[in-house]
Amino acid sequence: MDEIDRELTSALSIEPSPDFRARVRARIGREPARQSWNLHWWVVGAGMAAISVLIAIAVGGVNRRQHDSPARIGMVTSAAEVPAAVDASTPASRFAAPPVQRRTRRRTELEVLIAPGEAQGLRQLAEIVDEGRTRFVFFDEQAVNVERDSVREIVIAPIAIAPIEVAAKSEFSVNSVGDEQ
Amino acid sequence: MHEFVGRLAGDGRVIGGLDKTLEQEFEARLVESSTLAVRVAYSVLHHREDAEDVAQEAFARAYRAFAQLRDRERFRAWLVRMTWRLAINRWRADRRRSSREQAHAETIAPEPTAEQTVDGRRRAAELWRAIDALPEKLRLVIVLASIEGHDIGEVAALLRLPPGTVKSRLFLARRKLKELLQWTR
Repeated sequence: MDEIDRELTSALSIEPSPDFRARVRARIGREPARQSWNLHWWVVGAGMAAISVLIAIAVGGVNRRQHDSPARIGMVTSAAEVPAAVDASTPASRFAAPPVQRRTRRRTELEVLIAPGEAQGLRQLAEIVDEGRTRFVFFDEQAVNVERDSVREIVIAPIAIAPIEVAAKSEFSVNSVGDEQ
Repeated sequence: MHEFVGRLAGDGRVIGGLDKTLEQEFEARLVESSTLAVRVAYSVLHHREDAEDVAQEAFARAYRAFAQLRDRERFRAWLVRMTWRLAINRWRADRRRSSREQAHAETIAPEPTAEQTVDGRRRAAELWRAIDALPEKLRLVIVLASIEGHDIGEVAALLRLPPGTVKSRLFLARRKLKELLQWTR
């Protein structure tokens, strides 16, 4: 183990060149003065402060909007419900609702998206059923009948189970004991 | 006492850098720690000029932070870590390392005698290969233990580790080197 230490010490026994320190001093001398660093830090600090103020203003604005929004939604909902209930007889009044209210209502309520053709088809089907022109027949009703008919024809043959022979079992157990020994 | 180029005015007043007392302290640290820094960098790079460049960079950074590094032990520990990190970064970035090693192996041997030449070069090359194969933690410990005759306590102070940790790492590093090096068997 000493051999490794000796080899390593020998391999690392280099000295810096004579002008190393002079080069370090020259390198440090070429660096910009400390005052300029301080100036940079001032600039960075001022920038950070400005960004913080902007973020605070933005966050404050968002909070204020969130506080205001429930009252506005309530107004819109009530305003939207009243014309639907009262003005059902006057179709023109439906178009009198301001577009802003409609937009807000869409945001607050859930919507189920169905293609216009599908919606129309469903509506027509409901009308036909209401008028008694057709009735729904569910697949299950037919299926049960078919199964019943087919089940009647199945005949299960009796199953005969032969008794177990005791002698054979005892013989086997004797043999297996003998094998183990 | 050397004057830092461009840092001192004619009357010795400092222009924008450290004050005069700190400059003197830094000069003392530079004198006593330059060998340490160069050897640490050399243990990674195996190339004298590259090692000096890295050590120079480490001293420049130490100068910038010297107000916080006035304590001698703290300065040396910081310098070792910074030099090691810079050297590792440089080693990773240097794509021509293999060719430099080759050139270095031909020039670095300290004027050996004729019979020592071949064997010494081979052993040195094997040793560096084995050291490079060690994990970084073990490598730094064994390198520092081999520089300037540092004992376990001094290595522990330089790395800011408990002496027990240094001792176990040193043991593992030596055992691994022994496994890797043919001529120790």
